[in-house]
Amino acid sequence: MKIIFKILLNAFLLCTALHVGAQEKKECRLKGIVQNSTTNDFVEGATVKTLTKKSKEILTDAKGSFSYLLEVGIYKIEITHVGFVRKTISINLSKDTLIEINLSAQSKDLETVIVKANDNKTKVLSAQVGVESIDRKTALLMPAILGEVDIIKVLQLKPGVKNSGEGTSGISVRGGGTDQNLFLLDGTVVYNPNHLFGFFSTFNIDAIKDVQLYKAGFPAEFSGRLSSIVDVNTLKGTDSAFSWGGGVGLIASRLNVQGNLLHKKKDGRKLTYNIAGRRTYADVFTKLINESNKNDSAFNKIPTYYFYDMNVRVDYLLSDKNQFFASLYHGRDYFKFDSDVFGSTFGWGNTAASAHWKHAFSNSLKLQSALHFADYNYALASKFDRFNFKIKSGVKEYSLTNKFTYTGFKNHQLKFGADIFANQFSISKFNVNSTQADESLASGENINTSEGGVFVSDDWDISNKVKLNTGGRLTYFRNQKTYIGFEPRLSLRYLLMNALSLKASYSRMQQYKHLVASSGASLPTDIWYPSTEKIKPELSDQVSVGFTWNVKDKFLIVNEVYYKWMRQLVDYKPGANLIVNQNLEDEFVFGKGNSYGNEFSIEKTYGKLRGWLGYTLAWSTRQFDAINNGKVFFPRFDRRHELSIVASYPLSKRLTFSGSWTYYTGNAVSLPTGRTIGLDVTGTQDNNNFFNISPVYPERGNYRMPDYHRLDLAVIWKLRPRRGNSDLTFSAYNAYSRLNAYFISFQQKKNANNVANIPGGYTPKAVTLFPIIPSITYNFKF
Amino acid sequence: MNKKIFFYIYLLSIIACSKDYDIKLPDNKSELVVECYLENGQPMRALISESTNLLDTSTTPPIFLQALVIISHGNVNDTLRPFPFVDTLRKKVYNYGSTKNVIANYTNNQKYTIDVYDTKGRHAYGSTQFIDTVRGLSFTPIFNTEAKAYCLTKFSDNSPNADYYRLVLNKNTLYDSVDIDVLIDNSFANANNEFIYGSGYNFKTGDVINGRVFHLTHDYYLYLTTLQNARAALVNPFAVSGEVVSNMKGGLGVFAALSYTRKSAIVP
Repeated sequence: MKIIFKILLNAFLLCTALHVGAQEKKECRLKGIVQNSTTNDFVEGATVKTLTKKSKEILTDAKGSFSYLLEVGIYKIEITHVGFVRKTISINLSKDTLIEINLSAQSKDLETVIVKANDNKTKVLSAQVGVESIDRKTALLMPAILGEVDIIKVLQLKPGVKNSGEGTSGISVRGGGTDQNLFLLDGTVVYNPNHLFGFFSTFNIDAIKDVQLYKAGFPAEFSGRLSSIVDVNTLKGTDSAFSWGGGVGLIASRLNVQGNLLHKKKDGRKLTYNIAGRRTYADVFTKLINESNKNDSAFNKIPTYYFYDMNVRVDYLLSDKNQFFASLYHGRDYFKFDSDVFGSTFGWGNTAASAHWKHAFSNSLKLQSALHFADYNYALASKFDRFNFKIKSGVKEYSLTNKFTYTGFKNHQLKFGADIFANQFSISKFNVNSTQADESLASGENINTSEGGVFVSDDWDISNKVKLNTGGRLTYFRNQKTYIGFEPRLSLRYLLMNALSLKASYSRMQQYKHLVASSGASLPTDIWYPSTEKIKPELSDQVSVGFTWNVKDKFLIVNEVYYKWMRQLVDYKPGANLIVNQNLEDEFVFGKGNSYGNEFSIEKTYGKLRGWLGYTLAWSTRQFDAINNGKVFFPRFDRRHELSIVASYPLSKRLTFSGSWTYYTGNAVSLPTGRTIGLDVTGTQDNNNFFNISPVYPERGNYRMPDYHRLDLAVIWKLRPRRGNSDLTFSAYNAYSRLNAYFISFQQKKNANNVANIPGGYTPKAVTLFPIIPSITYNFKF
Repeated sequence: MNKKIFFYIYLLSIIACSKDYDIKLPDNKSELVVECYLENGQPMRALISESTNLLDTSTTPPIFLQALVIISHGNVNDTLRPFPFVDTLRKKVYNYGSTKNVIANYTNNQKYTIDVYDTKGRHAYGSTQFIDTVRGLSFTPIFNTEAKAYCLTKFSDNSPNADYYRLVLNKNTLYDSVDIDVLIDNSFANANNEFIYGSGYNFKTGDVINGRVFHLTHDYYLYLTTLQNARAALVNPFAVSGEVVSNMKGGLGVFAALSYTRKSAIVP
């Protein structure tokens, strides 16, 4: 392992040495203006710094302008100012140039939240392919189901990202399964990022700054899932002394407090915090209804349900060289079945905690180090007479991650680091405790695993036109057997013209943890299971090529073609017992899959009317010897065409309209085509009829659901309170109330006239989850 | 009352609805279906049928097939004759049978095979065997304060291997009024390899608990499990996949030897 690491490092150093001094010495002038992206005011005193070995720094004047004399070449320039989000841009300097830089104020309210440095030019110049990003501001403008803004659902409107079902936050990326996405919250894994069976994600918009989704060309620092990395970043607290806000919606309310405990200090130190929480309150109404019907013996009590979550982020800016922050998420869903004789309860939830240290050893060498803790578990508990029952599963993760960034070599940005992980899996734990010792039962598995990796990557500007990002990650995983894996990464950008670049990438990903999902939906009872001697790591290799075209700084057009090979995929046998099973490993089967397609998007990035159109044409297949008689089949998330149109328009300073329209062709589903009659054993459950009837499912993915389309609309109306800011957000999910089929059920017909009680066949019905759902949310900030 | 109305309006806005759906399913390939249970002291009987299109509206059971049905064990071949038989007491219909009674041996691992040939050239075949029955079966009624009792079933099995069972409790009759019909595996065994399962509070003084515990071969257990899953998958979007794992090759259905222990208890 050490040898490979040394070889990689030496290769980078050699490449670097060959190119030092190979540049032209011609100089030209770089002029620029820095302004506030929201108010368009000039920003005086901003630091503009070239990220080169001998970096140059200059401050902007009262008109926000600066001027440099630099050698011809490609530069990374960093612009910083207190109260603004740090911005880094790349520029190809071949002649005297004037640039305009917009800095985003750090979060103060909806209008001044972050806009990442992801403008059109940066995207053209970057070698990164297959990345989508959504910031908080965009998410807040979008229509939301039941008024609950969900950044993951906005991400689903991007090309190549499919939802795993109507209204759910689960995603399938480039033909991968819902288990092939690594959700990170400030770098900590969130194993089940869903509330209410996936209808809401765990990410409260009050606490979220932005999200990046990598679907190809994965940076070497990321690994662990085959198809995507969803990197969610939380929002820092405001620099002001104290502010609070929140929202009141149809199903949940939110509360958010922020501030800076060192706001009076003049030495530049800051201690900011951002605390955000939310809770649903349907249970308040259900309790009242149950109470009012307590004397009605025929009344079935409505189960109690609620979820809550809380985010805390604390940042301590000690100096320019040392920054600390800690992030905590805790959330839980809770069901109680009041009418159940067993008094059953069902709870599930995540905890994700991390502590980060950012340190600058010098201008060119920086470190990001973090400790992480993640926990996901569910538990179903019941009580009956002298017996207490409990079924539970879960996974805990402890990890330490270190990432160094070195910019000391001209035209190179090196990243390298190492991670270690320890996991504790608690799988299918089933306990029955009785007051009589001989009646107590216990089954299930506890598995401890360790995992680690080292990575290195180099972002190398080979020439004005060519940029190469090479890297690799060496991983190990230990559980019964030790697996060593190497994951090479390569991305290449060729600048065809200043506004148009061609890009290509190759990446390999390995997955050592597998989700045992009983259905296509994201259920809390889905179990994470580690690789073992029998269950090998899942592997994917992906190539992706495309272009990025900045059309007059007004539109960004991106097109990518991809092909992904997947091996050692994990599924389960027909008839597998996934809930209570001492030997879950025996229920797995192994196979392979391919996915390929084309993704196109055009985004309007200028003017009042903003938005994008995305179109995906894709195929995804699977093949398992033990499933479908070994024949290739289309998995549930295979969809041929998908189209999204998203737009927002501020009609005035107080009124903003937004909408999105989604269309996709039907999912592949498995439907029965035949039926059989049967007898069963005398005196058993099916004994009411002479014959019982059973469906025949001949093969998987044999039917396509009907096409799906939906329009969502939102209006944000800003109020004029005496203090602070507030708005009313009106949303209409499925505005024209299209009855999209979520599922096709087959209801058995009665045949009472027949003496032999022969069932009369089946009636197919399309089950629709959501007709039009209007909602209103009141948001406020003081 | 107002609270109720508010809640129902609230619920209505998010509740699922369904409507009839005009569907064209992929073509169905008709297959031979065999269902045959061997039971100690009972004649060999089988229902031979074929699968039909799911949405067929015909209510005539597809059981009028000409077939050759042979059950073999050791060196003995028994041919089941066309023998339409309607058992109104047990609500069973068979179309092939023999007058020869099955003599079960639960310990010698003797294999029984079945071969079914029909006039369409189809051949379905499978095998099964009797296995050891469970020991120490007991039914214990336990009362609550409302004079209702649940039945605590206990039994044991000497086998150290993974084992599978079906527990059936009938109240007061031998075949009707099914109180429990459940599949059980080793997860329900305590440290002494004793299995424990409780019913609901469905019994009262004077009731008779008629119970049977079937010891299942793995293929029969898998058939029953996947059959349950298939039926659930018709109406449940979160159900697991609906393929039924049959122990018949070349066709569908099941061939199983019933190895069970029966016991009755009167609720005091």
